[in-house]
Parts: sequence; structure tokens; C-alpha cells
Amino acid sequence: MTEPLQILTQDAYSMAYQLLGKREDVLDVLQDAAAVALSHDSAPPRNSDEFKPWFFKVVRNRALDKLRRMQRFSHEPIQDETSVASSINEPQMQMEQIELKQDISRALSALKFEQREIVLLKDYHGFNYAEIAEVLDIPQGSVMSRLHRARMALRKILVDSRNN
Amino acid sequence: MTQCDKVEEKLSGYLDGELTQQQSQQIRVHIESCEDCQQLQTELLSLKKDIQQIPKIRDEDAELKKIVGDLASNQIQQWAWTLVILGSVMMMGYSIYEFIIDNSMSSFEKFMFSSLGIGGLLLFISVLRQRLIALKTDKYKDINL
Repeated sequence: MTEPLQILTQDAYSMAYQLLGKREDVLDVLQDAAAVALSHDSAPPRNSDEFKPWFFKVVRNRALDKLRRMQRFSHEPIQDETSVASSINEPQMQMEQIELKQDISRALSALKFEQREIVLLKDYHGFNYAEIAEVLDIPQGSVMSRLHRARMALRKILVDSRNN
Repeated sequence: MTQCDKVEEKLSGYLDGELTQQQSQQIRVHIESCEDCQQLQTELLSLKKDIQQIPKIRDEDAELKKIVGDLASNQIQQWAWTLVILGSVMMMGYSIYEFIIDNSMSSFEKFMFSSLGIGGLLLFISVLRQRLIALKTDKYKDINL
């Protein structure tokens, strides 16, 4: 099923927000990625199933570039600070939803960047393994093991936090 | 490697529906008889569901819609710029050609006008070059003050 560009951009917005944590930066990156999506020769057709993972890959790469450039001028480790936990503090979110999901969000924030990313691509954004391999630019064969390690790490963080 | 280790390796693939029918069958058979793996499956499944239920971040502001809406007008602008540049280059080439074949001007007059024209063009190119270099190598352009 292909999605309209509006929905796709919203989904890409939430991924870029998880990486950058700042609205202006996210809009910047999306603007850039959208321009690439229109003009790039290797872009898959807009109404094909390949377009979404391809577009996410462009957005992710642009966001990481931006993050690296920003980190060069900052002493704080930005990469692991931005997270679902920070995004969930958006004012429009319902209070009860926040309480319900705080545990899992906190645990996700405690994960390593690469692990958090792959878990979110699968369960939050709903990509399949082939699409995740495309977005992250890794062999399809390593998606399952990497994802499983990430889930086990997440589970351990949750168990540890409940025991403390 | 125990049977449980082997199953655990593939458990995520099993939950995500990414295994072959035969692999899934093997995992299913093992899980039915192993309490530990059953427990792990339940935990991973509930973790997966919890993440799926995290509300999506949405930006309802007009700006994001504008980005999508702007795409078409951006493309038109690109075309327009290409045409303007193409037209200017052609017009310049034609004027130079007309200037060269014009017999009503003396060689001295032609020399005067050409030095003025070429000098102006070189100045424009050098300023443009500096600007482009500055734009490309500006280390601080992403810093918001």
C-alpha cells in the first residue's frame, strides 16, 4: 500500500524528530529531503512501495549529517540525548498516554542509538526487514540478529528498572 | 549451542513474521514444549505491542504541509531559472556575435567596448566565485545564534 505524500512526510517527521529533537532542524532536513526526492535520478516512483523506505533513508542520512555537524560545535553528546522520551513530552499528547508509555519510552532512551533506531523502525514505523535494510543501508541478513539483540537489551533495561 | 539458544536467535524473526514456513514451524514446536522460551516470547511480544502503541509525533502546523505543497512550485521555479539562464546566455552570445560583425564601428571603438565588457564580466565572475566558495566552506552556517 502506498501512502500519500502528506502522511509519508508526517512519518518521516517523527523519525527525524527522534534523531534531532528540534522542530526547526527537522523541518530543514525534510525540506532538503523533499527536494532530493523530486529531483534525484535514482528515486523510485512516488507511488511504488520502494518509495517510503528510500525517502526515510534520505531523511535519515540528512538528519545524521546535520547531527554530526551540530555535534562538532557542541560539547554535549547530542546523539543519545534525543529520544522518544523527549518527543513524548509534546504538549498535544494526552496525559494518560504519556503515563502509560513512560516506562517503555525511558527504556528506549537508555538504549544505544543504533539499537533504538532499529527497534523503532520495526515496531514504531512498521517497516519489514527488507525495508529496514534499505533505510539503514545494511545487509538484509543482519537485520534480524541486530533487531533481536536490541530487543533483548531493551528487555534487560526494563527488567533491571523494575527490580530497582 | 542448546536448542533454546538456536530458537532465541530466531525468535524476533518469528514474531515479526519474517521466517520461512519451515523455520516458523520449528520454532512453534519448540516453544510449545519449553516454558522459558514461551516466557521470552510473551515478553518480547508485549514489548513490541507497547512500542506500537506509542503515539505518533505529528506536526499539525501549516509549515510541514507547506513543504509538501511547495514541492510542485519548487520544481516550476527550477525550470524557470533554467530557462532564464539559458535565455541570458543565448542573448549574450548573440550580442557578442552582432558586435563582432558590426562594420559601423572603428577597431578602436570595438577595443574600448570589449575591454569594458570583458573587464566587467571578469569582475562579476570573481565575486561570484568568492561567494560560492564562502557558501560551501562556511563552517558556521548551521549554527543558530
